[in-house]
Amino acid sequence: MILAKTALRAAVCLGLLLLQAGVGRWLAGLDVLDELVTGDRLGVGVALALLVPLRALTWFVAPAWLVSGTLCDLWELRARRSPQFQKSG
Amino acid sequence: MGLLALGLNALLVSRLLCDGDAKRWFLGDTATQVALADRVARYVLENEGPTYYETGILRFDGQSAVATDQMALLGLGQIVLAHPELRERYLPAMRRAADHLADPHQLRYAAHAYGQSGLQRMDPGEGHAYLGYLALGLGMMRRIEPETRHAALHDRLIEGLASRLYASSTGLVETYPDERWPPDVAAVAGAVGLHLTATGRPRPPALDAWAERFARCAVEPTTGWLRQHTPSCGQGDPRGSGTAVGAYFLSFSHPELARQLHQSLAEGQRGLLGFGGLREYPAGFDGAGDTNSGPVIFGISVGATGFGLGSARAHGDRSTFVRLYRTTRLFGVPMSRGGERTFVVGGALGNALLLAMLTAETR
Repeated sequence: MILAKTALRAAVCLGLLLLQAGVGRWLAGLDVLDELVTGDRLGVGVALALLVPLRALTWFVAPAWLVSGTLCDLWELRARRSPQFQKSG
Repeated sequence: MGLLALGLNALLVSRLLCDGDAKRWFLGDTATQVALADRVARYVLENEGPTYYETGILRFDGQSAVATDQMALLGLGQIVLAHPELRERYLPAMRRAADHLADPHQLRYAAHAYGQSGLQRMDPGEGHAYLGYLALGLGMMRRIEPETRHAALHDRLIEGLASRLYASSTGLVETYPDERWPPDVAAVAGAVGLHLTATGRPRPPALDAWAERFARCAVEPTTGWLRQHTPSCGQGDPRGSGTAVGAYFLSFSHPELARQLHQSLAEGQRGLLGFGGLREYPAGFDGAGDTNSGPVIFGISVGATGFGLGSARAHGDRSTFVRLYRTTRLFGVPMSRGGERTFVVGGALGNALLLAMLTAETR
């Protein structure tokens, strides 16, 4: 169960990372300022608006969520297996 | 547990993801510099016309083109000075950028202000301090290629600009009619200093005398920051973006004044979890962002922080450089593609600016 939950969290984190990299790579092929001035304003504007929050999520939230979530699961499992938990249960 | 993990993560992430790159930039790692320089060189070579952006706003289109070509020349030139084996690789892009700067079409906005571009002639009583940006770019071109075909134009510009600096009782020179911008005047002084280095000519005493008058009128005494716009001597608010870029420009001509500006600016930096930023307005002053500063978020200015990288590297201030670079990496979003590296949010202008700042020569 813990393994499945960790794999799910890792898959979400990886998805965020890949999405961020994909948007970034697409923008890297353009001159963003030029596009905002005379080109695909809507597409580039939306991509830029997505990119920074995605980057903040992958840098600041995803690793902490993955590690702390797994640690909490392990903690819970350990508590459940302890004799005190068995006795009270 | 969750909050602890978030806090630890935020403290670690800036160091794990950014510091290796920051160290490579600060120490002048060739591969790191080449990856961005190749992209900037391609931006310049692919641009056939004299401008990069066509907003229809004459002044923005012209100024952004001058800044892109000037910063590309400074950045590529600084790399060639540090790694002479790369000279042939970047000379074609440097020549193209210099050709753009020498093209009167790029200065249509200035011709509009004065009736004629300073490239054609500078009449008595006219300032034309915007030419400092061109002259700095051409100065770097000349340092790398002394026989450049723009040498005569470079000499003529410097002669006209230097005479205006030396004759000014306030140290200030107009950029456009009735507009005095100390950061532009710092560019003029930097260009005069770079011309001396490129040509090997002796330093005139008038250049040092100018610095005293300029500091008296253009540096705000309580903060030590450069005033952004000065209606007359001693007036105008100090700004972070102007101080940072002024410190970089003056490092070519007046290293001591440049160091003082950098130290004053660095004292006012703000940081959170290892990420640093420079304020646009010092304590006691307030205002909004503009085209010079870029967006100002919680008092931190994109322009001041970006230019601050150049000022920090020029003055060997490693800790400030690393903190500012962490923020630049987070929000600039550098991406590698086909062996090149580009800061995604920067475009031609932002990448040329960052190349010049990240490779500034340490004095």
